[in-house]
Amino acid sequence: MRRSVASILVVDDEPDICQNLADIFQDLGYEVDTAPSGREALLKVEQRHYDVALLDFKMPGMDGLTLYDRIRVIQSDIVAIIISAYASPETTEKALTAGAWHVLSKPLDLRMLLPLVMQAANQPMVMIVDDDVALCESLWDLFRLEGYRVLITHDEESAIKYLQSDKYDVVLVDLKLPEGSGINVLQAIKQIAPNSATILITGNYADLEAQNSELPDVGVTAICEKPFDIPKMLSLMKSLTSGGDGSIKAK
Amino acid sequence: MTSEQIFERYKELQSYVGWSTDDAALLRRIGPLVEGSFETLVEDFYETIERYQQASKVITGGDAQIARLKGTLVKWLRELFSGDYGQAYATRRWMIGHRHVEIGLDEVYTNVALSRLRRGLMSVLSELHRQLPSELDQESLLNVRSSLNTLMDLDLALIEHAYQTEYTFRKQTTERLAFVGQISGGIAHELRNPLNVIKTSVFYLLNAKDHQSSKFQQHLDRIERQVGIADEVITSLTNFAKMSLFQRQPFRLDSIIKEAIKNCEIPSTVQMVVESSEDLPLLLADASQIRIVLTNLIRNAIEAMPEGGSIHLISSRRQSYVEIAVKDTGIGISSDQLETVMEPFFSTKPRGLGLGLSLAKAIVEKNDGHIAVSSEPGKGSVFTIWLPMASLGA
Repeated sequence: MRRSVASILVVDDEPDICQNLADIFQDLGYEVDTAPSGREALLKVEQRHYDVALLDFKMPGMDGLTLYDRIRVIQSDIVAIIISAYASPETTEKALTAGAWHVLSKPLDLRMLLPLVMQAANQPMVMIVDDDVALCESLWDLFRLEGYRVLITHDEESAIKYLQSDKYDVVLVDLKLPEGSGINVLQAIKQIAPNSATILITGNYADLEAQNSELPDVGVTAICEKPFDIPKMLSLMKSLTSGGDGSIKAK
Repeated sequence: MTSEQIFERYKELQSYVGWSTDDAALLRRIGPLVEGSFETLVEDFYETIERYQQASKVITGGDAQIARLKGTLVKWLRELFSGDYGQAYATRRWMIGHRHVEIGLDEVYTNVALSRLRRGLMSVLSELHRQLPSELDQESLLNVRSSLNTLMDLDLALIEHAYQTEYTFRKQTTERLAFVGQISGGIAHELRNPLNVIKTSVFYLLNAKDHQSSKFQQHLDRIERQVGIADEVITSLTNFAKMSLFQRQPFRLDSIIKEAIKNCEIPSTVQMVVESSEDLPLLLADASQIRIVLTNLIRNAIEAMPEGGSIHLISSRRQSYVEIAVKDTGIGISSDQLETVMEPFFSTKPRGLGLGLSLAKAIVEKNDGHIAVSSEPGKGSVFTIWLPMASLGA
């Protein structure tokens, strides 16, 4: 289900460290882009999809955490590792709360970083298509904790754009979207990514079926009615992805 | 302070207020007559404390502690009338002030508590005079009051001195620890960045599967460059520490300005304008240190203008001083940071130890000069220094 080569974005205002990490990861077969500042990093994130972002914490202009907050708005399934020369427990706590995966200190221990990057790149990918921002954020936290990488989209157009640029193991779709419709998303998945599992999220499936005659033909993999039965939902996710890696729990 | 030092101090204070052996004898004579009322005074003392939360909060040991403290206070009252005001007496007074800092008692309560005891003792004396005029006539009453007041003033002076000494000591210790924390944070950051490059380069050299000699050379060069950067961190620290060695001699400012500018590598986006009045006198200062000051100020100005701008370096005579202003058109400094920019290890920049401006300030002041900063956020900053001119014929 994955692209063969994982991609990494390295952001550090020290050009030597950008070049070193690029050399090391390219040597291992990764695709690497570097950016000397948050501003340039955001331009790159808008242009293409990355699996992992290695972000220096202290940079002129935009610091690594602010940068990650802004990256998350564009591509919430990029796994962020914050790298800091002098991380206080408060900074570390703040970074993890913001959704960063790990905080590593300088000088970098590559024997620790390399397995993390490999693990992140292999985490199953989940897309949520729902206009309910609060629900999306809760699911993001919940799935992230289980070791999934989670992309949040709120409308049909961007959902289809991401489906074309990357492969998602599971896509959760709400039929009612303010822009476009969930049915269109499901139909697009059938064409673009027929191997992706789909979960329909809805308040009342019977009503939905009555109103959408196309629904039975789309053939969703599963249905989750609100309010969600979380343990059931998670075990469903696990069976559809052959399991998240669960490693994040050890954080 | 040792007991001997405390006692020396006490004797000095005694002589200042004109304390004599007559005062001591007078108080000793009256002691047995007032002793009976000590218990009442002590009860009143602690009842008062209990009514004031700020005073009573330092008593954390409950009734048992209060009982103990009452015993100590009775002893203190007895000592007032003992006639023996030697080293042990002074040391015990000193320890009261010391202890008050330890338990965190606001100093003001020492004053008011002693004042309350003083009033109590004075009315005991008046009562004694009223009931036993043969033991304490009008004149003796006035003398005893005067001696007792002097003695209690001396007690208070010593307690307050101890309080101040201990308080300052503790405050300095805390500040020193905070300072060490700040320094180690700054140094950690400045050293770990080059170490990070070095460590990753070494990893590449040891582990790269794809052996390219040109890549290897690049990494070796990088390691060498970053070792140099790490070394500079240490150099700037030791420069700061060895500021004490300096030599003041008359020198011409313009040549030092030229050297400072040469040290700075002015980017092409920054325009450097130097204006000096014709009749600029010689300066009296350590020329090489003033060059460091100007270099730091120009570098700061450059860093404040990442998008480019202009630096005006204007020098002119102001009475017996030469004024040098370094004016930039950069991002400026917010008003809440203006006061701290010249403190060591303070930095608004993501890189750097935060020693540049504090070093500039220390050097200027050591050379009997003065430095000031003004700034308008978004418009730019002006750092102005004044250095003494060499007197004519010097």
